Amino acid sequence: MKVIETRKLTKFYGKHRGIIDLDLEVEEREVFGFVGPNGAGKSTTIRTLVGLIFPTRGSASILGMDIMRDAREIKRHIGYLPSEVEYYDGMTVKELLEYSARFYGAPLNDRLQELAEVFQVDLSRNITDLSSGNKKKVAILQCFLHKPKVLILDEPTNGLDPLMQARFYEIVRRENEQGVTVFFSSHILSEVQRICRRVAIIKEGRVVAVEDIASLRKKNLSRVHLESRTPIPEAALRLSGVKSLSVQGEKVEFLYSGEVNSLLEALSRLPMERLTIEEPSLEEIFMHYYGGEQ
Amino acid sequence: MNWNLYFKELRRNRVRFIIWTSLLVIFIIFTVSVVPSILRDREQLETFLKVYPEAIKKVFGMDVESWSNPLGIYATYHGFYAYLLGGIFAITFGMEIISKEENRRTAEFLLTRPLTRSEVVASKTLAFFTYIFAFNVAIICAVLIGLTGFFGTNFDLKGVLSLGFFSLLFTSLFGALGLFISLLMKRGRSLVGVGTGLVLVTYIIDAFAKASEKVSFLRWVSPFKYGDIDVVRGFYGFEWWRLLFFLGLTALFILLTFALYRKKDIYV
Repeated sequence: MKVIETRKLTKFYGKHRGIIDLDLEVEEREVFGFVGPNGAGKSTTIRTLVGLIFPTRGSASILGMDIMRDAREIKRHIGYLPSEVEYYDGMTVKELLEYSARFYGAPLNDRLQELAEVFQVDLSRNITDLSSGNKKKVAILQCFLHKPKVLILDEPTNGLDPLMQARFYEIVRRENEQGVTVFFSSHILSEVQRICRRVAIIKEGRVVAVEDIASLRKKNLSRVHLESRTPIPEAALRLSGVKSLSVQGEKVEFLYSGEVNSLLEALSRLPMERLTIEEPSLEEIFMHYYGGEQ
Repeated sequence: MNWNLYFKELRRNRVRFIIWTSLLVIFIIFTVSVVPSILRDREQLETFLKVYPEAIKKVFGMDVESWSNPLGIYATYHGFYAYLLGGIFAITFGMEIISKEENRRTAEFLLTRPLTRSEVVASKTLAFFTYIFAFNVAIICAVLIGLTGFFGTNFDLKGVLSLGFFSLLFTSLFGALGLFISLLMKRGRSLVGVGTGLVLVTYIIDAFAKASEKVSFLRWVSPFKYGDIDVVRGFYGFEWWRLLFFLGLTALFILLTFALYRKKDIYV
């Protein structure tokens, strides 16, 4: 069963584009990344999935249930972590979590203590007094407490310090091992790379690619650095498959996605001193998809 | 209906309720406490009323006959307290109870709990009407306690209860209007300003229409017309068209609130 499935999901805000014809399929027990620059439509997609806004056309389902028709039942099973968190004034952390738990008809359990310790949350503090990072930690607790089957995370580590980020990834990994499906949205690829198996790349409201993280890396895209004894003429590297070419005197750098042999043949004619061919960072692969703009 | 949300709303709005209710109760007790001195000197009252222009007297319902009766004197002020101030309390409260979740960015939390949109509206609306009912009960209790304290049981109980009944209808209507228009307004607009303005405008329309024959037709557009009863002369106002006006419009605004909120995109 597909845990999350969108079919031609489209959202316009008046005339403004939100998302267009979005088709996504997230498998059971998968950690699925959703990556794109700010304004690409990530939050629009997520807000549509969790029922804050309604699609202009198209449809979507979570756990086989329609997001419009079965919104309440779906929300029982999802843990949603928004990128920015705001809570009611005048409540302690514990009161808020109790309030949240009562909506699920489940009392607070041992899980709370454990999570509060992991994330160093003081349950007796008043929410009004918390910094945004600490509010985020409360949101993490609240997201996991009712044992959701699906986690929907929107820029989840935004505002967390590196130690807390590491703990957060650890918890997500553990939940996933226990069968929880994760939908992880971020504009930072390295974050997604760390935890996801598959990733959808969204650009200007459309999904431009859905790839395995592993195959994305193996896309035959290489970063080439070379230094020579004499300045290299640009014409010598006018090869199909060369991208983002930068020539600075004796130093040359470019991305290459063509035949390795023809590259080596072209390079062999140059008076080279140093050559490195390495796997590019996901950021670079990402930029490659976006045609250099982000 | 979600009781968790309902009780949280009661808790969250109790300060607003307590402040407004105690304010009006104090006003009412104070007003009733000066009634004996007005009644004591009828001659002075007549001279006092003579200096007022006819139009003003009509607007405020001041006439010698009404003012020779304790309830009559209070009823003159009731329009101001329960209708005007009560209306402002109701409309501003109604406008905030749903929309503050968006304005304070807590809607994202609330609407991602396992609730339907209708349950959100139902729970909040019920919490709202619980307070509106309690507010009117408190007002009428204050009137009853005040009148009993100063005049024993020598007043028209049915008159007091009909005043209370109409202020309940009145505040319910303005409250329901507040719920509805808050969903049409853009985030960040001054809800209190718009709400208070609406009540004042209908009040002023009513006052003008009462004062001048030429524009008297305008009274029909203001709820104040439909709540204008004359308990001193035994007119308790239980007429079908008045009840239809209040109950019909209140029900309409509540239904529209449900319909709009079910499809409303929530931005935080």
